[in-house]
Amino acid sequence: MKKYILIILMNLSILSLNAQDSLSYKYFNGVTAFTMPKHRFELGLLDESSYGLKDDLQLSTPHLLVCYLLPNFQIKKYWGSYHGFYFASKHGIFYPSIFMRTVATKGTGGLISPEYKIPDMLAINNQILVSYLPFSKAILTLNAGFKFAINSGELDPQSTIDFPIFYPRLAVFYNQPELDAGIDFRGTIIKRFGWQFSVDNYWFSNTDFNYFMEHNLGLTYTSKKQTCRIELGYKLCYGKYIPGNQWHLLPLAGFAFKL
Amino acid sequence: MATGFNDIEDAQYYSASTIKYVPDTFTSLKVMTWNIRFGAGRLPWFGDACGSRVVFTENEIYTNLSDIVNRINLLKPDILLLQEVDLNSKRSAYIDQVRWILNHTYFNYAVSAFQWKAQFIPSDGLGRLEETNMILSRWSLTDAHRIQLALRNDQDGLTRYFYERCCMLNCKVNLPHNNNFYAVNIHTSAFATDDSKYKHIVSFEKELDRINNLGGIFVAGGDLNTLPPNTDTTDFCMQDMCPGESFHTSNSGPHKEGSNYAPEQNWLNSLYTKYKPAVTTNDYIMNQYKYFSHTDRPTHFWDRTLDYLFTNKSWISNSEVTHQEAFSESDHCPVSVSISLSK
Repeated sequence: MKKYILIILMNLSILSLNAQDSLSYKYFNGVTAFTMPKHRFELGLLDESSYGLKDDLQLSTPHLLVCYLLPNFQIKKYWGSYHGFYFASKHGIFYPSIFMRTVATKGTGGLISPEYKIPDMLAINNQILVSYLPFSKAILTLNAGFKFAINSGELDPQSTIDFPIFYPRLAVFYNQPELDAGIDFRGTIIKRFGWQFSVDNYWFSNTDFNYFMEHNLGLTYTSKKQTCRIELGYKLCYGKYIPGNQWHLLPLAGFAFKL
Repeated sequence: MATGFNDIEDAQYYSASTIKYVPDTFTSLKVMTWNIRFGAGRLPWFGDACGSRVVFTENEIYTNLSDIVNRINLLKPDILLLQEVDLNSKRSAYIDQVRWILNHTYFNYAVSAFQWKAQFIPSDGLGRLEETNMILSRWSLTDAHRIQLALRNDQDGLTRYFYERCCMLNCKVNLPHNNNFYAVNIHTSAFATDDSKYKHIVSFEKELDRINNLGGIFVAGGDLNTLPPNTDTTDFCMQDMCPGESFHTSNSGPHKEGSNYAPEQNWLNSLYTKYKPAVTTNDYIMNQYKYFSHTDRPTHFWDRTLDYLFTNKSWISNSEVTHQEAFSESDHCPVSVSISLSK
C-alpha cells in the first residue's frame, strides 16, 4: 500500500513539474521577472521577440518585424530571488519619429496630418518587475516604472494619434514623465494550455488627459518542446483622450516561436 | 470605427441653458440657411480649398465661430438651418460647436443630426470627425428626425465606409397658435460623380411632398450643392483647379469632382415648379451674381449659388437676402428670407 502511495505521489510531482515547465516561466516570459536561457531566440509575430544574452540578461523588442519603423529595444536583467520573490528590472529606449513621419502623410494611412513636423525623439523607460509563484501553476508579476522623453524640437500637441494602443504609447512625447504600473497573472489550465491576465496603467503629467489602462485576457498554447506559443484573447482599453473618455475592446493575438 | 445610420432615426435635441423670451404673436418669421464650414472660416483646408491644413487650432476655430455668431446675432433669423457644424472633430480642435452656437446666440432650442460620424479616419490625419446639420429655433422643436440619403457608389468600399453619410434633418417647430409648422435642413453630396446627389434632391422633394400632403407648412433648404435652373456658368473645373491638377484635357473631360454642374441643370426644376424658392427664377435670371453664395477659392468672391430656401406657403416679397458681405466667416454666405404667417 505504501509503495502504491509513493508511486502516485511521484507521478503527481512529475506532473506538477511538467505543468510548471508548460507554464514557460523560462520561455516566452514576457512581462515576468524571469529571463530566458542564454542564446535562446524567440521571434514574435504580433508578439514580443527576445534573445537571451546571458542566463540573467535578455534583449527584447515588441515589434521586430517593424523595427525599422519603430525602433524599441528593452534589456531585462534578472537580479535574483528573496523569500520566494523574483526580481528583475527592465530598461529600454523607444524612437517613434520614423513611424510618426511615415504616417504623417496624405491619403489612406495618414494617421497624423502631414502639416506637422515630427522632430527626432527618444523615450527612455525603466521598470521594476517582481514575480511570485502563488502556486505551482501560476506566476504573478507586479511591475512599476517610469518613462521620460527627449525631443529635439517642438511637437505640435495636435499631432496626436487619438486612438487606443497608439495614444498611450506616444503620449510621453507630449506630456511627461509617464508613470506606469501593472499586474500580470498567468497560469496553466491543462498541460500545454494556459491563461494570461494583465492590467497595465499609464499616468502622464501636465495634462488633463492623463490616464490610460489596458487589460488583456487570453488563452495560450505552448508547444510540447517550448518552441512556439500562441495567444488568443481580447484587449480592453480605457483612456482619457482629448475627445473624451473612451473604452475600446480589441482582439488580441500573439504568436512567437523559438528559432 | 465609422457609424452607419438607419434610414430614419431620432435627432438629438438641445436647449439653451437659459430660455429667452419669445413673442407670442407675430405675422412673419425670418428663416436663414448657412453652411458654416465647421468654423474654419476661409482657412486653407485640404478637402475643399486646395489647402495644406487638416487640423485647426482652438484659437482659429473660436475666432471664426465668434464671427459666425456675431453675424447670426446681427441678422437675427427666427429659424436657422446650419450645415457643417462640428460636434467633436479633431479638425476643429474637438470644440462642441453645436452647443457653443446655441449658447452664444439668442436661440432657445436646437436639433442636430450627424452628417458624418467616424471615431477615427485613417486618412490625411483627419482622425475623429463628427459633423452635423442643425436646426435652431426660438420656439421648441419636436418630432425631429434624421433621414439617411443615398450613399455614393463612385467610391471604393473602404473610402465609403469612412466617408460622410449625407442626411436630411426635419422637425416640427412649435409656434404659438400653429401646430403644423415644419423645418427641413439638407446638405447634399458636394463631390459625388454618380447619381447620388440627384437622389438626395429627389428625397428632399419627397419629404417636402409628404409634409405638404399632410397639410403642414414648411420652410426647407440648405446646401444643395447644385446650381439653380438657367444658370449661365455651369462648369467651374478650371476655376476650382488646385496647383498640380489638370482638367478638360479632352473634349469630354476630365472634370474636377464637384465642379461640373452641367449635367445637373434640370435637377431642381421640379422643386422650383412645386414650391416657392426664396429667389424666383426671374429674379435669378435678371441678376445671377447677386445670389451667388459659394466659392471654392478663399480669396475670390462668390461665384455660384448652392444654398436655397423653399416653402409651400409664401415668402414675403423682396425679403430674400443673400448676405454676400459675410465673406470671411465661411466658404458659403448665409441666405435669409421671411415667410408670411398671416392667414
